[in-house]
Amino acid sequence: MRSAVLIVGLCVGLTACASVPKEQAAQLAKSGAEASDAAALDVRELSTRVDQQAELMAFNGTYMVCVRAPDDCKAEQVDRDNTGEARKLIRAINLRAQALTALGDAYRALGMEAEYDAEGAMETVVGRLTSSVNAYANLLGAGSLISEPVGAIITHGAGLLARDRQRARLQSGSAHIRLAVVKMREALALEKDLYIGLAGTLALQENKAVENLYAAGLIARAPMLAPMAADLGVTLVPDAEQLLAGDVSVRTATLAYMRGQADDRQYLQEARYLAINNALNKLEQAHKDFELADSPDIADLTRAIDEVTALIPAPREAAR
Amino acid sequence: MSTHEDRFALTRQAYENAFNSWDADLDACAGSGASMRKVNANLRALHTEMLRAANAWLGATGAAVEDAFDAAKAAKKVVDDARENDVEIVARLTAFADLSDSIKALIDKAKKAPEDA
Repeated sequence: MRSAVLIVGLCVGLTACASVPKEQAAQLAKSGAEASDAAALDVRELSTRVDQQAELMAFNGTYMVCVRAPDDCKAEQVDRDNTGEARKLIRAINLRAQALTALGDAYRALGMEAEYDAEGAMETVVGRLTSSVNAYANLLGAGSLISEPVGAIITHGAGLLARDRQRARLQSGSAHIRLAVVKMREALALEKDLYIGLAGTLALQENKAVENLYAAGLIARAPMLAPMAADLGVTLVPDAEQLLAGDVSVRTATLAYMRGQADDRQYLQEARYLAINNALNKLEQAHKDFELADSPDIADLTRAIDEVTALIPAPREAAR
Repeated sequence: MSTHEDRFALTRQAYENAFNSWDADLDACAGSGASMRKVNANLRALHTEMLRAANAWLGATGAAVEDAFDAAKAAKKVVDDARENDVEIVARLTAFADLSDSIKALIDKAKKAPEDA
């Protein structure tokens, strides 16, 4: 039977059975996407903060003049040169975020490849074909043309070819992504000090705006002391807000505490960029291990990524 | 010769120094709105210079980021194309489907033949 010859031909080229490292590839893809997305979020947040600076400077400048010269109170204009440079900076920073998002997308593609069950698909189809051929043969009274053990070998053989190809695809994908990770790490390392410096300086106007809102009584003051109370294991009294409004000493002391908190956030930013660099380093090593058919140290990689995500602050929407 | 890192550090320090003495400088204006607005304009100008230095820095290292961006996009395309263009599997699946249809057709003919006989 021509059909049987065709099917048996699939047995030719049986290779040594090597498993596809799908689970390791899937873990690597998941970790890589998490690290890339966390870094992209951080970089994109920086561009948002740059965008808000001009308005914050206008608010702070106007308030600080008007409280000193209420009879000569005029709204400060937003500086065009400043906004022009800010827009250029935002575009440049967003390019970095896009590069990191593109890296995350490459990892997601790798994850999808790892999930693609080529072997299962092949076995299903060949299994159906085996049944069809045998059913026809039985109809003609020729008995089964393909015995089950042979059929299993055929199924196995066809599945092996698919596994070999998938393994090759996963390793090739990993190698390409690894090169992108190295380039990304090098690019971010060149600019790390800029991000850290910029983030620290941007915080100056942000914190000044909070202080001015606080001084004007436009924001609740008691919540500013909530972190201190929580750390000390105590609870603010229900009328803490009224007490703060009427007591300049404790209001001024609260301001000193707020400034200290602002300094802490600056150090957190620096720690975050260092953690991102470390995570990219670990990713590169995990790729190398994967491509050498060694099991990548996913636990070590996961710890590095957890360090990044633990340092990311709560979304601004939640803070309002 | 200064680097873009040096220039950013210098402009950043100048801006931060001015910021840290902002309240004191405004107080020194003794209530003159015009003088205080000049203090604010000076602070804004220093902020602009710091942004300009930051842009120069990112401009200098932009090529590295472009490379990284292109590498990441290329990596994704390699993985996507490898799956999509693995025509051997697709072709085989198609061939198997065709074979199944042929066999079914043969079976149908074989069933009909005894009836015709």
